[in-house]
Amino acid sequence: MIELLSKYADKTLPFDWPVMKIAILAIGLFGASFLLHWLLWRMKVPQRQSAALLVILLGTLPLGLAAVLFVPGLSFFRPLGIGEIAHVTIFHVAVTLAYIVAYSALEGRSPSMALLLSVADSRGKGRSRQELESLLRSERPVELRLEAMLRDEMVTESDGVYCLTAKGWAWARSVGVARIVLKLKKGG
Amino acid sequence: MSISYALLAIIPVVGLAVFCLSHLVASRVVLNRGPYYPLLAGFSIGLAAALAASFALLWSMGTGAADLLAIVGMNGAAYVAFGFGYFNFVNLNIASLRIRMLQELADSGGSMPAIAFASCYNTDSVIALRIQRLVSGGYLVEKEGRYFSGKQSFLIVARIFEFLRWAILGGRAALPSSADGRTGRDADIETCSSEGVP
Repeated sequence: MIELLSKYADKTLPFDWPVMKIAILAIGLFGASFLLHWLLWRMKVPQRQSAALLVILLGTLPLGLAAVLFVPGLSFFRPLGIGEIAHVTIFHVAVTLAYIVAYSALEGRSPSMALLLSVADSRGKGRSRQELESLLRSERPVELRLEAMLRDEMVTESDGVYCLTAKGWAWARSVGVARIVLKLKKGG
Repeated sequence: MSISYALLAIIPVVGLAVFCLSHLVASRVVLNRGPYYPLLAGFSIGLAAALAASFALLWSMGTGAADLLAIVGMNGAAYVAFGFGYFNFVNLNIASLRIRMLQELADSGGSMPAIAFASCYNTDSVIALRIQRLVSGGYLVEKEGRYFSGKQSFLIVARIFEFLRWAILGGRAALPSSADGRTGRDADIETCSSEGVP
């Protein structure tokens, strides 16, 4: 398979376009890591999805680079020097982080998107305020997030009092600094 | 080629730095235009800087047209990916329920009785805020007490997320059943998510 790919690449990719191969390598590596993630997820979705994704997507990078460096059939894509390796790495890390951010939106549920989709699928009849409220109440947005914060140890609860943990303080402070610097109002 | 190429490789990171700085300046200079306008301005400036720097470096290296397009596209995609991450970090302050709740606790010295917390930020206030935001943004239109679709842009994003959810999580996606007992398509479409909402 690798030899076939290599022969195909030899015939179809112009050798005098040395930089193009880096783009193909970078896109191919991310594509391979995405395919691996997709196949694994079709079999079983892991418990800690974001952490598993990070390991799979970032772990593919050194493995892929090692493959093109040491597997003779893939030598066409071998990067020349640290600059090309850095280029592939920066692209892979950027796209991986963006995908993980986007993936977190698939894991949870956004109240706003739920509202929009519900109204759009009302087939022109629209939704009443009561219907929208009942939809979001069933999603329990505040309760679910509180449960998640307790589970993630950002907050503890004892005798009916919620307390921030060190992790919770770190999140509140780091995002809070950005809010002050960028002059943003409280959101949520 | 090596020094020029190393510079070419870090252009997306430089573009991100330009985005952050431009956003910082825009959010202090441009007032009363909402939080997304400075973000868009910063993103555009960073993108222009990343693309221009990539073009200039490749031009100076005497690169052919096909290589030039491939690498400019690759750097552009990496910059957009970094920019998406930065946008989401900033958006945590604007739209994230979880961050708002953490900040409420931090503002009260790090602890708060559950009853006080519930009165400060509860499901009813979240619902009211969401509906009001969607209406004021033009994404929902209210007519005679009923809500209809408005601007399509955010709805398209929601549909894309819905498709991705189906494609990636497939049948394993946890589908909620809504309070009014609807099932099937109506219930399915309410499973998408993003804290990053206007």
